[in-house]
Amino acid sequence: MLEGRTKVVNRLGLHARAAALLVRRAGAFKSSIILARTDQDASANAKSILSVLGLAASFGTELQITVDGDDEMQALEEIQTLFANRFGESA
Amino acid sequence: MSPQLSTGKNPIGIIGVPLGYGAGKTGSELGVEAMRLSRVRGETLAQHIAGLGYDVTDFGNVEIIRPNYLANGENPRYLPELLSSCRNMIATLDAIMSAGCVPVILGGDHSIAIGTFSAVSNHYRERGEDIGLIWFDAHADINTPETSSSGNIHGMPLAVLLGEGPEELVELGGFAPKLNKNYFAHVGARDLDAGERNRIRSHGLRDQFFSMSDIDKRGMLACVEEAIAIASRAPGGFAVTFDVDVMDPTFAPGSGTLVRGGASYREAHLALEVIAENGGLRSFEIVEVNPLLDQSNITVELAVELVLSALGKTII
Repeated sequence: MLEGRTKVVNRLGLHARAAALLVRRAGAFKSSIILARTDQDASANAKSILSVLGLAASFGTELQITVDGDDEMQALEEIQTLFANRFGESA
Repeated sequence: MSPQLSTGKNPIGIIGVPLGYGAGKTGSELGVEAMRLSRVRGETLAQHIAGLGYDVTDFGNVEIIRPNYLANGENPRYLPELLSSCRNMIATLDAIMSAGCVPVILGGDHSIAIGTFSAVSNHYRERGEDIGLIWFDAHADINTPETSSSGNIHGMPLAVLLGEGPEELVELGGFAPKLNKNYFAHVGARDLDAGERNRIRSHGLRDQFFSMSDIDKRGMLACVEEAIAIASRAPGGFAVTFDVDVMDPTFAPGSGTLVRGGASYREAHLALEVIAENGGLRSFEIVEVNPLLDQSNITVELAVELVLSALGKTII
């Protein structure tokens, strides 16, 4: 099991499009991927759109990522990159 | 083989909607995993879609709210649960389409079309575009609680999308009707209730219904080309919802409300091949596949093949 941190740095937050992109990426890994808000007791399965949307993670929200499985290292890295690249949004 | 990609470079998003309580018989909720997991000629649906040259993602299933009681005379049945489930369909499908994916929706019974088409319609409406709909079905699905003897919502989705029926469903997502009737066509009807016939006439929709009798007289190709022409008037393109009971039960016995005299194996493939060639498909849904009623998985495997034809699989 691996843990890491990330932050929502795209202005629109973890909205519909970003959530689907996250689920697409997460779904490619065998590992389980759980996102949890650091500011409140809320967590989500990164492979479920509804679950991710339920986090209501807006711009600036800090998230803890917990990955567990054969490809956990690559999964953590790619998920963190996706957030850092603002889901392809310009800002 | 060089498949024609009906949806351009758009990736495909598979999404399951395992809701079967809108129907009278149990089992269509199992159609989702049957279609997703069955190996047809050695490969799964997702593998076949990838083989057509698409980038494909399986987004899993929409979370369905299930009733924890047995309906007892309500009409419509299980409305609160369906309503909540439809909201989940809308949120999930909106995300999938926002990410640029064309949804391939695996049902479930046909009541899910209330949620799924509301989602597609709302998504394109927010972009200033109306979207059309081609509906393949042995039934018209245009009942309301007033004309339905069973209260099963899978007999009502078309009425709801056109703005009639339970207000909570009609107003889902805050706009109605979801479907502009000028952009709607129905293919394969052969089993209509009297109330449904009246409603079709009162909506002025007779010429947009291509019944099995019309198909017998004019041929599937002419009928489906006209259906596409109607749905393509919509600036946003069109969605397709395909109830496997449009097929003759010889080819698709695994469905809950079989009616003899349906589309042949090749007629159904032809219809979907022509739709794929058109290029206007924005969402494809297949419903009422019931593995509990199937024989040797032939309906499930047919359903998988039909999805591929709709996505541009060609013989040569």
